[in-house]
Amino acid sequence: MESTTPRPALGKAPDAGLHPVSGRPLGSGSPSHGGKSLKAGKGATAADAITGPAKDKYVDLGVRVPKSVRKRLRAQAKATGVTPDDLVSRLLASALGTGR
Amino acid sequence: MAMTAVLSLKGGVGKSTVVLGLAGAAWARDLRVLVIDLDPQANATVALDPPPFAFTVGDVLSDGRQGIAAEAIVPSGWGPCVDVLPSEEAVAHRNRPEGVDSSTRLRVTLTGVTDAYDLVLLDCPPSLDELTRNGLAAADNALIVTEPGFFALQGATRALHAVEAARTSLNLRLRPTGILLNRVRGNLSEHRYRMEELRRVYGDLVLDCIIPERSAVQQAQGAGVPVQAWRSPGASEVIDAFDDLLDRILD
Repeated sequence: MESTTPRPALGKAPDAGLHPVSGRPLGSGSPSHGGKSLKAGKGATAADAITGPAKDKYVDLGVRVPKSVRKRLRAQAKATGVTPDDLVSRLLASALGTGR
Repeated sequence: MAMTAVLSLKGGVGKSTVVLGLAGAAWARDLRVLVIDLDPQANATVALDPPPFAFTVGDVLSDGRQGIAAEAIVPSGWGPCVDVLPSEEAVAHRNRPEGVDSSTRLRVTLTGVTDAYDLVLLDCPPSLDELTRNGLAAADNALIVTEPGFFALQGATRALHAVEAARTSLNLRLRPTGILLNRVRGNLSEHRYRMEELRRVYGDLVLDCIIPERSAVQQAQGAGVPVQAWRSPGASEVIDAFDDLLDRILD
């Protein structure tokens, strides 16, 4: 008489979560470059996409703001321990959705 | 149903490209195709653009039960006729012998699974270790891919010996389809010399159809579509070559 117990489904191999060279845990099925696009920008190589984003250059941005805004900016920068330039960069990046 | 292992013991000669080209040629004819990606580099898997998958060929080989491969097969992004048994980095763990049945596990796990397909293509890694042995033990025929270069031709020679060894020790059904010249640039004298050299040594084993080097192949791979869906003069030459190759395999 045949057993009516359903056979167990396919499971992950015991070592499927380990890197074959290092033996350390792999990301869950993600490629080693962390899913980042390997498309290289101008002057960049595929290696740049693997090792991390290229460092951003800093440029001057001349803008006119109300004096009261500048005052609050300087106060906020001092309170958070960064320069006004850094604070503006972060606020703009956040507002523009770049995630930096 | 034809089950073809695509191999070369040298890396970078375009095995995955040939697998994808053949899968595309079959896709264009509305044939049912299964691509089994045995290469831990998983290039064929990525190019076939499947949805997120839970299991890979490594899990199937680790399990080893008859017919279990069906649970890991997923549809590709190319359409309903092309399925893939995907790969990932960790598949490299299965590239060493694990017990007496180690080399024939893939064949067992595919029992009853491949009947639903007109063509099954096995993309082997560029080594003669356990993953390639599993491919050769499961396949009916072996297509050896090479470039017209000195090192690549040496790799083709070793691959032919490997097919013969696999036939006598693992799989009496296995036959060499032939040696396929890939990425051929007919304007290069070195390529012409190596092609003549290969034909002198291996005669009819060298297939008449050759795959020319065309940027359309890489462009289509980057876009995650078959080269047969890429419209350019270069693509047309490659499409014709893969169509001829498919005829040869399905004969």
